[in-house]
Amino acid sequence: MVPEARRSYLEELKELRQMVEEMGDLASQAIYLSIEGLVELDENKVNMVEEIDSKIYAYDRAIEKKSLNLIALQAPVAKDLRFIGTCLKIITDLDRVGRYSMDIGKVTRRMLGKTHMKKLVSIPYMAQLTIEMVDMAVDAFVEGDETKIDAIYENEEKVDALYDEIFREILTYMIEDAKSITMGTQYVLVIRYLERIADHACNIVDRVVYMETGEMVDHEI
Amino acid sequence: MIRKLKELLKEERSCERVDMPTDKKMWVEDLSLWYGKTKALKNINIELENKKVTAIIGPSGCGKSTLLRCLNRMNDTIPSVRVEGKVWLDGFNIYDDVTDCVDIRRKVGMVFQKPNPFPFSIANNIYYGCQVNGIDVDKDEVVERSLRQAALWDEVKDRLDENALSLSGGQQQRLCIARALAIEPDVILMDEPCSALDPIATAKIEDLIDDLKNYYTVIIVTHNMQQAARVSDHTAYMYLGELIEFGKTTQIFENPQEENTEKYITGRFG
Repeated sequence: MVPEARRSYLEELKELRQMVEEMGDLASQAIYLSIEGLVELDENKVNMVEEIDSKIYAYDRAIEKKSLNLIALQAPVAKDLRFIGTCLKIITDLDRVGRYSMDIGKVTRRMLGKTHMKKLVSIPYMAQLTIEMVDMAVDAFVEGDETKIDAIYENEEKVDALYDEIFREILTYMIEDAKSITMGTQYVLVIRYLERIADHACNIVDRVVYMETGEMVDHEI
Repeated sequence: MIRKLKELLKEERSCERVDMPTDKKMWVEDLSLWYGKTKALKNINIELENKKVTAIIGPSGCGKSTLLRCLNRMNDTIPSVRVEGKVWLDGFNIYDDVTDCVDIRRKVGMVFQKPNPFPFSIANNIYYGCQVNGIDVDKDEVVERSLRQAALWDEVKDRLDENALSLSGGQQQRLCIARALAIEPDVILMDEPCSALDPIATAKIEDLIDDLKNYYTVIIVTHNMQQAARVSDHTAYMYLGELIEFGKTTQIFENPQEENTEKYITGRFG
């Protein structure tokens, strides 16, 4: 067996992986808190989401810097290069997850002092599915397990179906009662944000497939 | 006259031939080599494309220089060496008994790790190969053409009569390349041509390799992985005398199929 060389380089790759994992955890937390904030119309939780989003942004910058340093100084190739390329791509997805969570927070701010038209059930369920997707995608990256793609895309289908279902339901409320339009449009925004978050989770796992196999996932549009 | 006689004699003796695809210049078939009892090359099979650059990489002692030297029978000069297998050049086996080694080395030129110009003038370094091979050419013409091809003409055109040893290391190496080009080979073998050069001289040689592939088939042995990635179209990875992986350079450096290749190019060992 040949002894492993480039210990400090390998250590840096490990640190990079850990940073992306931590960024992914923050992104999941941001979605979770933003939905809790929406359900409870809780301003404190919105503030917490904003704080988390700042941290996510800081991770984005730090990971990008570290990745570029590694490329410049260590000239990575093969799987190492695919790994670093994947980091650079998926931090943009995770950053967007943070931004959408903050957008949900903005919706909550606009609703503060009001009450929901009805008890929110489908939207938290949709959020739960998207959080699962982000968690699975980040786990797939950390574990280098591209086989999670199927489970993530199964959730994606459910999220898409829920989006249509909730959209129709909100539309019905708005048609029946014009007073519900203000709140209804805000809910539509929230489900749109959640649907986009789910898409970003799919992007992440697509990148994991490339990282592990070298094959690009090509979805027909 | 002697060359013509040699050619006539050669034609009369049977020489093994194979049909090779036009895009292939050389084909190494089941090649093994022993230094005494040590098997240094183990059943190598590789096809080298015409007018492309092929890089051979691998850790020290893996057999890459030995393989390179097999391509123009440079190992024949080592007494303990025994070779089995075939190396086809344009359909002719260079290890055939009737093959003339000098003729092979005229067709397959070589540039070594350290620049080794002769202690003659710059012009005579170029012309020497033509003289000893009995190639009847205009000296001025061949000197200028070769130096231009080796991207050295502009730097030395006013001092062609100066001793070649007065040139810098990078210039000396380009002079050696020009010397190899003078006799118009088909294939140029380069054994770590930049290992003794600074980054600027290295960049010039790399640019030169890129130009040369328009006219010649280039095979380069290098320890510098990034150089292999930069200059070559195909890369062969060797380990302990075996050819582990061979493929397009982009594939080898982005998505190698063998774990051993991956470990080497990512610097896990070697």
